[in-house]
Amino acid sequence: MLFNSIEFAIFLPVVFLIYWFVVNKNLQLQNIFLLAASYFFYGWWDYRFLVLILFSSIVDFYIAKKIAAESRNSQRKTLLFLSLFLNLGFLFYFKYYNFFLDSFVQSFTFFGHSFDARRLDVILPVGISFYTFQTLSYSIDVYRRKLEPAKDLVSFLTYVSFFPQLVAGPIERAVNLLPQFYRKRTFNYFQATDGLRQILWGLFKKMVIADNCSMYVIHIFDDYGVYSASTTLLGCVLFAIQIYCDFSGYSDVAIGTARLFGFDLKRNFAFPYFSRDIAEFWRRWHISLSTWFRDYLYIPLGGSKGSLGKKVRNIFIIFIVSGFWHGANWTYITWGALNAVFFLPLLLLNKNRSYLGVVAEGRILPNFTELMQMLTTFAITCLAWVFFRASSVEKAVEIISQLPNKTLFTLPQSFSDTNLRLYAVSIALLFILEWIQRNSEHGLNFADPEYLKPLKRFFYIFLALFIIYYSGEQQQFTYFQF
Amino acid sequence: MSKFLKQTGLFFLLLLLIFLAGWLIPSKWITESLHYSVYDKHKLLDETTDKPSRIIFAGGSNMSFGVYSPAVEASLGITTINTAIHAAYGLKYILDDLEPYVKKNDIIVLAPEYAQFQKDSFLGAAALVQGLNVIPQNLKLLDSRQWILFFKNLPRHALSKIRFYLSSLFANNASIDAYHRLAFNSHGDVEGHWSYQTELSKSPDVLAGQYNPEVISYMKKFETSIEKRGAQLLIAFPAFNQSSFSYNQKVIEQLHHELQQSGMELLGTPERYSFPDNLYYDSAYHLNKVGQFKRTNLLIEDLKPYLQNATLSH
Repeated sequence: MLFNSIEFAIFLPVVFLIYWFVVNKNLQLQNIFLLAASYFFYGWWDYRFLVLILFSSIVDFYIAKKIAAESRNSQRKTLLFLSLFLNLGFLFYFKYYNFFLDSFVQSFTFFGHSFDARRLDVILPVGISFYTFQTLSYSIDVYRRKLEPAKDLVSFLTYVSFFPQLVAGPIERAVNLLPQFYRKRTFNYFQATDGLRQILWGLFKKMVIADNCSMYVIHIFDDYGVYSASTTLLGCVLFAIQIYCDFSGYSDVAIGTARLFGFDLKRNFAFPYFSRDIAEFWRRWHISLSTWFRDYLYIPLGGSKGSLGKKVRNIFIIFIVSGFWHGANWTYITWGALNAVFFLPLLLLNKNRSYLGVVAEGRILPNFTELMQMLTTFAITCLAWVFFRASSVEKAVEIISQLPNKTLFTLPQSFSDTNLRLYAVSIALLFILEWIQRNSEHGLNFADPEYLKPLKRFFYIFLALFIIYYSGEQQQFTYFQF
Repeated sequence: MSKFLKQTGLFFLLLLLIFLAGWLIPSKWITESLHYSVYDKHKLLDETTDKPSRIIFAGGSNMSFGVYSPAVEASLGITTINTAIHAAYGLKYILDDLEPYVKKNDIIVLAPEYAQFQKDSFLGAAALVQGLNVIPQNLKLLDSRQWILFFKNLPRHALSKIRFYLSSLFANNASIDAYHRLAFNSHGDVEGHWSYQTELSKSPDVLAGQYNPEVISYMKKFETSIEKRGAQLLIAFPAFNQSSFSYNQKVIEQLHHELQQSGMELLGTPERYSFPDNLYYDSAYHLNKVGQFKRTNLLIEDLKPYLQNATLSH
């Protein structure tokens, strides 16, 4: 079920009303209901996916219990490996098997040998990378004795499948989310209204900006070489905006929806395009994944400690694995490697933590240096996004190589199914509001005086109408494929 | 909680009222649009009930842009009416709207666009809401799936109408083009585009959807129903431009096969009704004047044997 669908528009209020008015007396019943709703939500795509998530969750639940009860280190380690093997095994089977097979066959072909290999004809379960990482972190945290195993199966199953964040995150840590299933939830007016505002903002980003930009981007990436350099450049910039609005829009709806049910999810985006360098960008982009890799991969590898060679190795590992997490394709791996290349100088010069606060703190506008820093960071992320979006590394290189051209200084082309004026207005609205709100959780997280309330209500109505009228052709969220 | 429910309730109620206002607001955007021609077409059907027999063309815009009924009438000597307006009403709605008007000895020539045979198109799209806004009494024809589609598309339709209404207060945005009510001739064919020139998109129209067997079943049901009244259903093929036709040949062959298996009477073959791209106006299904006459002549040829066999009294 997509957040931007009529099915979800019916599902959400029904679940909300039953949750707060029918099953609210009993915490266990409330959790069972959330679990049923989450499985219904997930099964809407394909009921067969439920078997996998149920199996994976039950196995992790019992393995974690055993790990916690076991005192012998070797046994604990074996159990942890079993959990890792099962979870990563499923992920490998569904997501990466064909990629490795193809790469293997291609490498043999390169050396003059060829053979037929049988590809798997399986569908990729939606959100498998997200919930696998969620359960992995649970098992690892229990193993590290940072977390007590889940008290009951229902809470754990609901933690893994909690519908707002099941298919595209934020990737929750059990330490944060699981205890929320043990506590009685009471309805909080401010939390719920802010949740609704965040949903509205997320839908604006997804339905108006991302879905409309995708129409332009498709032309550029499908038929590159046909258009002027300025049109291609605009397509690349619009993709950077599309991917941000698509994914952060999803996160906004997810976090907002969870808040309607009394849950607080991790923040996943913190206005990344206002970053002054790539290190700051990675602290603000897909935070739940970046911190996951930091805690479960980068730090165990040694992090930024050790010899120069080790530091470089660790940075490349974490970025390449992050790229690979997105998909079984060399384009994602190149995207990850490219980001490692951008990040490395900052780490080596010890400047990777230069900007921990918000840009232009206490000022209305950034100064010239900050502006140039933000534009440069945006430009290099755009360059990397070309690899992320292109269907192959060769095509990405061709697209980039077409940019230095005299047609770069011509007016970009418009297409019959695109509306550049709408792009300009909606993207301007996005950046203006997010700039104003850069110290807040999301674009509509206002805390203004009472007298502004009527104006804000009018604005919400206007925004809702704007979304309905200008929403692009309904597209699945890009991150569902990961 | 009650404050929250009251406020969100008010928010959604206000939105609902805006949509309702959009639906109800009188707008030239609707009354002058091609959708409004449904009244003219119903009137034509009503006014010709005394004719011994009629040829009634039905389908989407491939039919309204694709045949010249006065030539058919002159050549075959039978009253001819073109009821086609828009494919995005969905074939179900098109047939449901036509069915009450069919009478004894009528020959219905139905040419659904190829996309009509694919998933979801059967039930219609956004244009269905525009069509229903013109003739709300037809809401009774909708089934539950169409109602969902209706509610899904209503908000944007209502806002479009409000936007047009507001802009019409400040500017005269009326213009007569191929999609205007007045673009139809007295028989229901579009001829308002004859004086315009547009270039057909070079990319083919892609039939990417999944085949929907419900479409042929529904056509068969329609056939059974009108045969009981002594009328006849003939299936024609849409005029699909050659580049789109070549691109989708396999899909079209499969559809042709399904139609042959259905036992319904087919007029010609899909290839026969695919014309060079230069005979098209602005889409893969919309013929220009030359194309319209060419297809009309082919249809006349294909219809003749059925008229000779039929026991029609003129």
